[in-house]
Amino acid sequence: MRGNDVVLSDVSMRFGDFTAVHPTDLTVREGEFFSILGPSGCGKTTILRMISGFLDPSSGGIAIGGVPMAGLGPNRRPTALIFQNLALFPLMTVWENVAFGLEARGVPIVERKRRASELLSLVALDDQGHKKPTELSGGQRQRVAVARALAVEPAVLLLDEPLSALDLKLRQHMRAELKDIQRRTGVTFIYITHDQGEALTMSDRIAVMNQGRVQQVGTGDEIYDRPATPFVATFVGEQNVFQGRVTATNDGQAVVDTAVGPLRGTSQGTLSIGDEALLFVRPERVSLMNGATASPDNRIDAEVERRDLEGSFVNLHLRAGNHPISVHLTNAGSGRDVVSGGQRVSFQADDAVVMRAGEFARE
Amino acid sequence: MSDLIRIYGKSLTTIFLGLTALWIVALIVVPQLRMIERAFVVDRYSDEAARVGVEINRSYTRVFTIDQELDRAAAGPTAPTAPSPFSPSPSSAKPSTPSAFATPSASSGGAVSTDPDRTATLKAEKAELQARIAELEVREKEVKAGGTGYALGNFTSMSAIHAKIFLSTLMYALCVTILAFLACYPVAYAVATSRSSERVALLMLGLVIPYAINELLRIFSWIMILEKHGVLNRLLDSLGLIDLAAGEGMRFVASNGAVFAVMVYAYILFMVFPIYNTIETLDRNQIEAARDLGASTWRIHWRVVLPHAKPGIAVGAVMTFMLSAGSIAAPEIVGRGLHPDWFSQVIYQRFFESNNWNQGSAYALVLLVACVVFVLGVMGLFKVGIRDIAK
Amino acid sequence: MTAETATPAAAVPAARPSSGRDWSDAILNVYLAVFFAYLFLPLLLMVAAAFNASPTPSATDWQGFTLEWFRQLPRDQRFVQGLGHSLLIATGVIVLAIPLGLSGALILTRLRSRSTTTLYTILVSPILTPGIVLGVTTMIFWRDTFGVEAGLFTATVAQATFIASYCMLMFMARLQRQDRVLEEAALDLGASPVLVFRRITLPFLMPTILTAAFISFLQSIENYNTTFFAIGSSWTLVTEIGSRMRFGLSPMVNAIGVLFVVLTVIAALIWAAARRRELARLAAG
Repeated sequence: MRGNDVVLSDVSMRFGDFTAVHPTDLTVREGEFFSILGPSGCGKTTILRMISGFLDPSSGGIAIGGVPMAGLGPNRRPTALIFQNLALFPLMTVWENVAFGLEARGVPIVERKRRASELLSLVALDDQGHKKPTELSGGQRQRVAVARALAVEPAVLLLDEPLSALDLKLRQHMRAELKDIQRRTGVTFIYITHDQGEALTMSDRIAVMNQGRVQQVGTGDEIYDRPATPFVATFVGEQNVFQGRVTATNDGQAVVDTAVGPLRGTSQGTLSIGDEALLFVRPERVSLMNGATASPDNRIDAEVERRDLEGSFVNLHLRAGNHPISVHLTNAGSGRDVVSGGQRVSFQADDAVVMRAGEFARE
Repeated sequence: MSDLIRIYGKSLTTIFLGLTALWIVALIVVPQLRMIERAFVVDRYSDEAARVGVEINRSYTRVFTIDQELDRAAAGPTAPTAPSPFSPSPSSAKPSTPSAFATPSASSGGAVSTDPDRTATLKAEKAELQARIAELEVREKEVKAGGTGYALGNFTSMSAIHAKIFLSTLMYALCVTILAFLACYPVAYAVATSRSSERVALLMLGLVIPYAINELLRIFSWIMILEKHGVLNRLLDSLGLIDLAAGEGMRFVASNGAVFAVMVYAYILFMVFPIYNTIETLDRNQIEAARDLGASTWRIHWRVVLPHAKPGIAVGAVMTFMLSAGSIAAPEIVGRGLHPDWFSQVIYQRFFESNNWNQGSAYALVLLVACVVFVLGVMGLFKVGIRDIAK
Repeated sequence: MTAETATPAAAVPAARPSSGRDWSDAILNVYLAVFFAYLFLPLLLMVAAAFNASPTPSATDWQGFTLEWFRQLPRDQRFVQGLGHSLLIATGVIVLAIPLGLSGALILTRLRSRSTTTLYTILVSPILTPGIVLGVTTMIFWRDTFGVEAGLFTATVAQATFIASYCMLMFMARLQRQDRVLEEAALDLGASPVLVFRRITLPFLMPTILTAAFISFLQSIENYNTTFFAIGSSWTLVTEIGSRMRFGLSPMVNAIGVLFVVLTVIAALIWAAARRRELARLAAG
């Protein structure tokens, strides 16, 4: 364990009969951009509020930098929270907002002003200090909230879906900006979101949660390529799903007998012959077998039903018997050809994941 | 609770809880309980205590006159000493003033003889009286020590007149409430559904000004109309119906009708604002939709506007009734102290004229219970909760 | 009026103008005129009598214009002292009612438990209690428990009992519009609870505190029924006016009335302007 790791040991939260968070172990390393990703009501905000001190866990304990946080109120923890609606103080000016944490620590006003203007220039808001928060744009307000939280020099910055109120363009811009601020300050970020795009673009590691349980913790690539559960597989990104029984296993791979024939993929967890299993393959890992680019592993004959132009890629909807198959092609080369009629598609066993049947993410 | 502590900390939370507790205990609940307690406390022997007290006073007065007579007999034909206006009796704090007895007997003492037989008789009588006084004073102490007990006497001893005043007060208050509703509903509706904001602002100003003007002044302005030489009598005079110069002015003030008329004027606007506030929240499209479906004006009000305005009507009714039933200003000022026919005045008399706080408490409790019953009745009738009533 | 209703009615097809509606509008307008005449004529008579030289207040028996009754006011010791008492009581009421009402409102809005309905009922009950009962209970309580005779103090306490309820309702309305996250954010930034209250909650409540103080002041100054019972042998401006009205009328009462009317009209105009601004702000935002 390093300096300011955040360690949750067997932490759970119950509200009456309802269990918001099942006993959970989680370690967030110092200096990491860590996201907790999940649908609304999955318990991610509850975890955040427990770390920040607004909720006391029903069981287990939280330690930051090895110091147990039990019994410490939110004002005594080395954390700073950025609220979903930012919670900027409307009656204070921007610089007063930024310097509020310092005011609470009894820092003299001259020093407060100096620190506030430093932080405001860190978030590129020089000369905006005298304004009221309501006079700023959405993105500017966002940056004030970040500056205000950083002013108290927290070991951990907690962010509760702070971008959800912004429009798409601004949201994408702010992703880069937050990541940049995190890299420059080196502060641990724990970022709560239901938006997989945000989690994948910014995070060093991601925890995917559902129904009060952490389903998987890993880097974006791990989550995307090696989902641990059907929920993770379907919640993050798009998937073609094939259902069936395992007919063979060897060498970390398994063959599933599906409606479109036997398909081979990489096993996730232990599988034995006869198990009810699911095979997932991403639409962009499926290719058309025109020419020599076709993969030899898994071949499916299907009819093209529709071609949707999405911009940088093309989404082909095919049907193999009754089973729909989705294929994403880059809008270049074969993707630019308008294809129709019968096609043979294929994908590599390395690109497919086979796991025991379980709950999907609801659309 | 933990929420409160988390945000405001232990010390501030304690202060908030302490202040609220203080408000509840010292200002609301315990004072009410003290009044209720007093309402049930009866001086069991108060009649006997009063009788004994009167007899003691009378005896002392007699002793006093005997002494004077004896003094004169001893001093011979000297001028009679001026009788003290105050009795030497230790029971002088009693309501019956001994001087009332002392004065006539002192004047009769002017024609006195110096007969020695008479002197002996007087001395014997004095001795007898002093023995009787000693006996009575012991009895008085006993009676007072026997003290008080809890009973319903303060309620059951309410005279028929007081009971009648109580009921008529409630009736008048109810009539004020109903009349205020009938008069105010169209006004509230007109203001709330007015389309031009200038018109709304003007109408609201026209309502707020008289509403905010002191209750006493609203009452007083009507006295100027109802007085003997007031506007109404002069109007009748100029119409030739009466002749003021010949002293034919009608005595409008100091009648229940006048109190009633003044109350309607004084409290009517407490009905307007609550109803206005509820009608204002009604989506005007509902009225248009009902009209479009062919509903008559009556039906629109009965089926759409009135049901929506229920909470406002309930608030207005409670406020108007409570103010009218409990008003001391209107009957006191209109009645000029001549016509104490309002229950609030009866309560006042119990406290400050009869000095019978226990019965006063009982009467105040009766009034309070009547108002609580009215509030509950209105809540039941209009199917609204306490949070709708007090907003 | 007809012009006003005709224009929007033409613009909105659903609002078909009909002769029946015109009729009911006309009747409503006549009724409004009568109603407002009923409200204002008596007040005008009272105001007029204040300037009448007639020694008994009268608006009909005109004996010439005078300001004499106004000149006499400051020379009347009981009025002047009564005003002093009124101001003293009103100050006391503000000092008591604001903290009490604020505490009650904070507890009621911040406690999420169901038991708050009972608490709420108790705390608003003084509004629904007849004023004279409040006066009586306060008088009895303080004399029986502490031997304090009715006077300025009991009048202050009796008034504060129900004025605090009005303050509480105002504070509750304001607090329900506050984003509670602001307080949490301040706490999260390391502020102590006291600092959170001083820097976040109080500034947010400040406009309501000022309004509540103003309303409490007016309610206290104007109160008659409760004060009449709780004041004992002392008096306020309003109870003094009341006893003058009962025993022998003097145009001085009308003169005071005029002052009250003028102050009320000014306050109402300020209120109307504030309301207009508020509405304009709502319409804009």
